Amino acid sequence: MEQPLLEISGLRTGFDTYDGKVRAVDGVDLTVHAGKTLCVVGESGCGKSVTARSILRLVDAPGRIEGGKVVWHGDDEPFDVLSLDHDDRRLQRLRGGEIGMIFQEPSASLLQLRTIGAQLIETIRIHTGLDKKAARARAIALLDQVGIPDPERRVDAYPFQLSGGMCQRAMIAIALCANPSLLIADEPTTALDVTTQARILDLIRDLQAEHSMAVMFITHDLGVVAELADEVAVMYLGRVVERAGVEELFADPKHPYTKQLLASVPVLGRDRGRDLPTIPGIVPNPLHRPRGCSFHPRCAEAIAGRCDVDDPPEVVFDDGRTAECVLYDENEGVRA
Amino acid sequence: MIKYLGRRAVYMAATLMAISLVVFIIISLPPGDFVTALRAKYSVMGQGLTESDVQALRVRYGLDGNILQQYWNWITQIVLHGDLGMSFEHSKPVADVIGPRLGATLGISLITLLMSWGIAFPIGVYSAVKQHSIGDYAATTVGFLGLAVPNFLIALIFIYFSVTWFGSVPSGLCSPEWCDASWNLGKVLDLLGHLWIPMIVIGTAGVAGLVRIIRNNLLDELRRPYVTAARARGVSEGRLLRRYPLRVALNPFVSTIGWVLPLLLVGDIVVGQILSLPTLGPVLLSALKAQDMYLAGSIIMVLSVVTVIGTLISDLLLGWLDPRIRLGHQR
Repeated sequence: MEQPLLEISGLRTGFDTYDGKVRAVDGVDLTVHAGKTLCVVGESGCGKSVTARSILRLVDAPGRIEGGKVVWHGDDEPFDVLSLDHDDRRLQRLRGGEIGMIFQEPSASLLQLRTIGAQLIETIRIHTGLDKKAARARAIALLDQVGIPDPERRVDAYPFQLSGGMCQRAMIAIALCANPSLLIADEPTTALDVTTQARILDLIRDLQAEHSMAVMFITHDLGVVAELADEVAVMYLGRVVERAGVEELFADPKHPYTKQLLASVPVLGRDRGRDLPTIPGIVPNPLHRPRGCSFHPRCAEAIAGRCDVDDPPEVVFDDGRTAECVLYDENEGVRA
Repeated sequence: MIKYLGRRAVYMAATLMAISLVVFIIISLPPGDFVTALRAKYSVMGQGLTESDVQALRVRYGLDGNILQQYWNWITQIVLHGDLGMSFEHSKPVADVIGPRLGATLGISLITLLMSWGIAFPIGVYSAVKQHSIGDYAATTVGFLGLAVPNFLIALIFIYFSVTWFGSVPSGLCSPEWCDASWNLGKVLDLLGHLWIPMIVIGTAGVAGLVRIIRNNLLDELRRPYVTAARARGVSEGRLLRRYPLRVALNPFVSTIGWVLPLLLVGDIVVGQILSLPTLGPVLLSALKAQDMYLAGSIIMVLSVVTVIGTLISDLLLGWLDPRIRLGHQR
């Protein structure tokens, strides 16, 4: 049986706005297994990033984590990250120590006024207690490991002197500095061009194998999912609507949203000269969430009188995959 | 670097020449000149001046010839001999009029400036970090009041209360018995007893403005992705604030040096007038009123020089603080 490394259950994160409360994450359950890759996919605004940020409690005001549990199974006793005090040592150690995190805009995520070396060495010293000289040597080794050429010189470069891809490599080096067991990657390749994207993905995959760490990869790119994932969680409007192994998901999507997502992936040749299939409608404003299943207004298979009235049940199938949809209620699987 | 400084020096000289010409022309624009004013003064005292007296006076004061000739006389004296000319009003060289007041002006302004930075900085940082807290609302409200109420009004209020409560007006920087005394502890204490009033009066608006600048800069920076990223790698909150957003929020501060330096020199003109402070502000005001053109022109020129130098200093400081400016061209 696989070891759960991180268990998120019932996570709810909301944003208080002048128009009312936006429930960005509304009861998310996710499990990351040690050494495995979990991809979280969904459209913009579905709560992927907020989920990732909630794990390390990085949600800024006016956002607030309102409930749920984030249980970390590290080397010691498992503990709930959300119940820790702000100054708890375990939270400090988790951030950057046991969990490394990389972000969407690599150059904005580095302070432009300090060299990448300074920011890397700072993190190394926080988590390892090395002295300045040893930390610098380790910084150079890490930069070398993430494929930054000429690391002895680049360690003293400022972020604005490096390309976006190089900055993301530097961010990865910072995230890896204390040998984390989990790397959270929040759309790390979105701001990069396609070739750089592929190289960064290769790098993450190599490093994952090398360090035997788990990866939680947030993306909206199904191609990336197919390439990286062991398990996939599909999110829609703050909820996980389907969870499955990557092969099962691509071979046999259960939830209508997943089906339509997969159908809208362009295929070279097939789609020439015709419109790309799209999901009709737009993601509803999370302030005015539709009653019942959030997806029913856009769903081709919605059942009137059912989908627009009741919350959909979470159906667990025999192989452990789940889908939150009435279509599989009763006839297949068991209600959770 | 030397090439850069050389280029800047040439630009500065050109700027100053242009400023001097404009200043001189503007000062000479009002009809009449110092002799006209003098003539009016004499006729009030019953002594009419004949046309020939007036002509002789004009020649004596160097006010004959057209405006360009006057300008040429003035500027060549400054550039070649460092001579700022004579003040008609004070019948003294301009340098002797400005000199003694420079110390007091710089002293008051510098202390006020340091105090307002010292007070404004922690309040601004607190206000930004604890945005929407009661303390933030209090600081913001008081700040608005401080900005909205003109300095001279605060000065008048001070005078009103000190007259009604203490029966005397705190004016100047020293009590009569100490003014001519040599420096000793008593004089220093007396000075401190007077200094706090201009400091508060001039300082309130400064503090309020600075608090707003720091708060807004910092609020912008606190929302940047690098703050979240630094927090995600375990940088503790205090260190995070000091090393990341505060460091960035400081830069716009440095650029204020360019215009803070001339303010330091003049002091607050209106407040200086009301509280009879021995600063340059009131002198400039009366020189302009009396058409004492060499004195007024010289004070404004000194200010311009200081402004230009202040800008250079803040540019150099910014380059030193911000590697993007220093290394930007080496991308």
